[in-house]
This record gives sequence, structure tokens and C-alpha cells, in this order.
Amino acid sequence: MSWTTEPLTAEERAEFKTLFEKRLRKVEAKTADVFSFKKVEQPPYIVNSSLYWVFGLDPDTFPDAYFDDPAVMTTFQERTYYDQVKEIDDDFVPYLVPWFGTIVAASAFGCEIKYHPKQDPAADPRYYPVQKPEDIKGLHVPDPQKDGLMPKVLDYLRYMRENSFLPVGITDFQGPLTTANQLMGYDKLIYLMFDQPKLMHALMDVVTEALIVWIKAQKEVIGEPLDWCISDQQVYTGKHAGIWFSDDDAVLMSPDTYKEFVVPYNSRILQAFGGGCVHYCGNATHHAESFQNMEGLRALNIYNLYDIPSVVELQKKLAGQVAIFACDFTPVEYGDYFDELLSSLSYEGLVIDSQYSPVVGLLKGGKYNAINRDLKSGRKAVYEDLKQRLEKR
Amino acid sequence: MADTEEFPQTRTRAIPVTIIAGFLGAGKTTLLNRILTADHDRRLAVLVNDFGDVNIDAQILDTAGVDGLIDLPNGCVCCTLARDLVRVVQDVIAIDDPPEHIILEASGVSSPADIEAILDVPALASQVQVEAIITLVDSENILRLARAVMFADKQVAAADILLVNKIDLVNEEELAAVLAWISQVAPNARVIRTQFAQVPLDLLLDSAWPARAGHPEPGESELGDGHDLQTWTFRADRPLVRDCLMAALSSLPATVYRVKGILYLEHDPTRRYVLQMIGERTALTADREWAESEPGTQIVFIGQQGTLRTTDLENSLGECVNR
Repeated sequence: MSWTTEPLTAEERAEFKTLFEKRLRKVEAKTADVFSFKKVEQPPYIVNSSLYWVFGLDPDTFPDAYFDDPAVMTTFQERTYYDQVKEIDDDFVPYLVPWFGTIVAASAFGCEIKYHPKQDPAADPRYYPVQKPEDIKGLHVPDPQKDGLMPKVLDYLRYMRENSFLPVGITDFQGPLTTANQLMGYDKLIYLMFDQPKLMHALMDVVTEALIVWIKAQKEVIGEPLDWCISDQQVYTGKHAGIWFSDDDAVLMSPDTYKEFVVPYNSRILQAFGGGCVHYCGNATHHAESFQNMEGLRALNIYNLYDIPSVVELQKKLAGQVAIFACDFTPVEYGDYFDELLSSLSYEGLVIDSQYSPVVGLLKGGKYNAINRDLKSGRKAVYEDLKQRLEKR
Repeated sequence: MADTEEFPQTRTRAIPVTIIAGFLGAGKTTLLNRILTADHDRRLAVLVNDFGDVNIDAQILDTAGVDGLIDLPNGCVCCTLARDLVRVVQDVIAIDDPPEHIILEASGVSSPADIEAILDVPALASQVQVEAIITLVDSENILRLARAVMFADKQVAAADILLVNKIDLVNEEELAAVLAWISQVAPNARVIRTQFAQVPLDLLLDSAWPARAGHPEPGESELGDGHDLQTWTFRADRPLVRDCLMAALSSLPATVYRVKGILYLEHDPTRRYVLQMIGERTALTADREWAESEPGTQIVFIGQQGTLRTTDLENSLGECVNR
């Protein structure tokens, strides 16, 4: 495997900084067009690799001490970003992320964390901190300086800020619904909504408050304004969004349940940071009305799983109001995918993000398949293909 | 019922996979524990989301390797689905003594149809074949669940057999409401009402026959354990006309849950065929040559007690015998 985690040399770092600053200026201008829904000849597009999480990487290339040593994590991310930025002139703006999976906030509420070798950290589903509804009354807003993985993340943020010229972003942010799910499991959560809606709201309330406190603590460390955010999962947002979070469980919820138990809390977070972006995987077209009414929602980051018609439908319903980041892991047959994507989506308020993985490929129909393709040459080929298709249009 | 053209004559049998689906709390674990501990005389691989959900002795659990695979005392293997599904299945079928049947526990929020599609990837398609999707429904909570989430109806609609479980926790009116909802979501589903997921394993596994040597006697019998099920066996010494047989099977009522048999077919009389039909899902696969054994057809029907119209079945199948 050609990836290495050798630290950047002084020459490489200088070259990287020049490339970064040039790219940042370019992408800032394009992003302004996205959020003003300006008619453009080409939308911003990204072809990159999984640069800080394990899923989608060849596990053998992942440093063993990644989750133990901020220097290892920083060096790995800098190196992989540099390698990519050198060869691909897309619209990705690199930034460092202290990555500990999707469970940092949940860990601060008491979730136990499992570290499987060569996998992203995950919550142990057998040890939910909320075993029975009454446990919700005992939940409190965690202290970012003391609870769970939060202090470790803050340490990594400090290290990254002090040791790299790259901007530093907040760690993965699961929204209130997913965090609540991590605290008690989906079955109990669903039944709680019906049996004890007041307790469900109490749970969402304490989780939402905790998430706001947690984000503010991180932004303070990295010096990021509340209403400014470097990126929504690798899509640059800057001054147009103060926050992003994942809302993957949204796709499973019925419209009424989502509207009652989730939308108010998502809105509270988005408004606390001057508006932001929400991510999910799959099809949440049935929540179009909720998205229209979710105060502060600026963009949807959708990993559509090759369900392009659902993105088209949502884009039409949210036109001029909510930007669409059309994302996916790069399909095995990416030419057909890009053709469908580019011919059916409006370029107004659109960003395209194709996450190239050497070991995971998306199939038509929305399934992932284990594959084996070269990282660098494959990624470059996808970039050139998408670039040419955009130029032809 | 699929068209007969979909049954390739030269296909050899892949390892059958039964997907156990249903929301958390519907009874999947109870059913899995029954399968794991039953005396079914089959070498099974049971793929579960977490060992913590099933009753496996702690000492046995300690033997789990890095691949998450453990051997159980009854000859079965159990494996967690903590890793990529395709890789887990590949590992399971690659062991020295591969399983005769795979039972796969779907996660509570997953779509079993999606899992079936995953198992159809080229890396696995010739080696495993989904034989049935069994969805458990918690009759006490399913209607609330269906209003709250988007996947409940998908799990029900995908089922070949629906186990409407926990019926002891609802009254007649509530059960009727559940059944009415099911009839809308899955009008052709084979529905079995259960408590504690108690259902004859004959319905879930191709146990003892026809993959094994035993030959049932023709005629009717009841399944044990107080289950409200009935079996009936059709037998013919002369070969059957395949298309006629398939047409007859396609018109079976929804109260026939499972049909399995060894077939002697007129278009390929030197080779025996294996028939598996669960709900409306039918698989007809070419098996070994008859060789020294006497050719003949035996088909077992399993259905709801009192609803197998055996005379009609005898007549319709009898018309398919090439005389």
C-alpha cells in the first residue's frame, strides 16, 4: 500500500500551505454561490477518500496508535490530505478532525466504548446508560472537561491547533435523535415516544442542551466562531453554517413522529449556531415538510445510496431554501452514476461529493460491496471522469 | 409463484439461508435460542447481532476466535455479525465442515429484503440462497411501531412467513386489528399466530427430510408440541410434468406454509429434483442422479390444521403425473 504516515517535510508543508490557501480562496467563492442558489455552470465537486475515519479505508494502512496519540492522528491526516490535494484539484478544503467514531457525546452520558482492532470506536449496545424510562430523570448535562471521551477530544483539538497550519474542525457530531438512540436503544426509544412522550421530550431536551454545551466547548478550543464552521463532513461551509450534525435515524422515523420529537430539538441546535447543515444516509424525502420548517437548516448532506431520484425530489421541494450536498461512496460503475446525477439535479444550491474508497464500492440499488481497487490511481480516475463530464455539460 | 422458466435445470443446491427479521422485542432471540438448543440433527450456522442476546454458555463464548465464530455442543456454529455481512458468510461457508443451513438474525431496524439483496452479490450468489424470510411481529406493539417508523411495514411485506407473536398479551379485538393491518401490508403472507415464538422447526428448517434419508409415509399427520399445524404427503411413482406441477403449486391457499419434496420429473427423468416452497417463494433445484435408487416423487405440505384440502390437492397433483 502506498499510503504512509511519515510526517510532512518542511518543503512538503510549505507546498501544502500554498496549495491550501489557493484552494480555500477558490472554494470560498464557490460556496457563496451555493448558499445564494446562484445559477452556475458547474457545481463545486469533491472526489476524496476517507481521510480520518476507518470505514472505507484499507484497515492495514491505518496506524495502530491512531486513537491513542494525537501526533499519530495529526500526522496521518496531514499526510493523506497532502497526498490528495497534490494530485486532485477539486473543491475539498482539508481540515483536521479528532476522530473517535460517532460516540463521543454518548460516552459522556455513560455509554461504554468498544475499540475493535482496525475499526472505528463504537458504543457497546449491551450497556445502555438508560435502561428504564425513569433513568432519564437522572441524566445531567455532561461536563466537557471531565466526562467520557470529551476531555480526550479537547486535548486532541488543542494538539492539532498548536501543531498544524490546517484548520481544525469539531469531532463527529451525532444529533439529538441519534444520541438519544445511543443512550437507550432504538426499541425502547420508539416505545418511549408513545408511552411516555413527556419523558421522551425530557430526554431530547437534556441531550440537546448537552450537545450545544459540547460544541461550544470545542469551538472555544479551536477558536472557531459560533456561526462559522469549517466543514460539513468534508464539504466546506465557512460563514454559511455554524454547525453540522448527523441525523441518520431520521430516515427510519415516520413524518409525524419526526416532526413532534426531533424537529424542535434540531432547530434549537441549528439556531444556537446561526444555522447549519444536517447529514443523513438514505432516503428522507418523507420529511420534506419538516426540513422546510426546520429553522436554521441551511443544507442537507445526503448520502443517497444511489437513490438519486429521492435527492432530485427533495431538491425540488427545498429549492432556494436548503442547499443539497449530494454525496455517496463512489460507485463501482461510477460513470453511470455521475451521468444520472448530473443530468437530473439542478446545479443551483448543489455540491457533489464522491467518497472514493479502495475497499468499499457502492452498487446500483444502494448496497455496498467489498472490493479491491487502487487508492491513488482509482481516485484520480474518478476525479478526471467527473471533471470531464462536468466540462462537457 | 415464479414462472417455471426461472428454475434452471442444472442448478446445484446452494446452502439455504433463513433470515429471521422483526423489530427489537418481537421474539427473534427467543426463536434463535430455540433453534440453537433444539435437537434438529442439522449442522447449522446461526449468525446473530450479538452473542449477548442468545443463551450461550460463557465458557463456550470464551472460545470465540477473532472471526467471531464459535462451535456449539450440538455441532452448530454461531457467529456475530459485528463485521461485514458478506465476509462473515464467506468465513462461515469456508470452514472445514460447512453448515447445511444458515440462520441469519436481521437487526431490528433493518429491511430483510435489503439483506437478501446483499447475499445476492456475485461473491456469494452461487454459494448461498435465501430460502425464507421469517418475520416476527410483536402483536402487542406492532401497530404503535408502524405509526412511528418507516420500516415496520417493509419487514412485514418482505416475509414469506409471518409469526404474529405474543398473542397471549392481546385480546381478540386487538389481535383482529393487527391481522387487519397485516392483510393490508402483506395480503399474501402466510400468517402463524404464536406465543413465545413457538413454531415447529420443520417450518423453518429443512429438517430430517428430504435432505436426509428418511421417507415419510403418504397421507396426513399432525406436527407435535400442540401446534395448530397439519402435514400431508403426496407420493407418485410415475414422473410429473414440471409446468403442470408449478401451476398447481401456484394456486395453493395462504394457509399452506411450506412445501418440500423430492421430485421425479418427466423432462429430466435421470436426475432427482429438490423442491422448496415457503410462502410464495419457490425453489426447484436439480440434485444428483437417481442412479441405483428407485425414482419417485414425494412432496410434503405443511399448513394450518384443518385447511389442507387433501382431496383437491391429490386431484390437482394427480393430473400432473405423466401416465
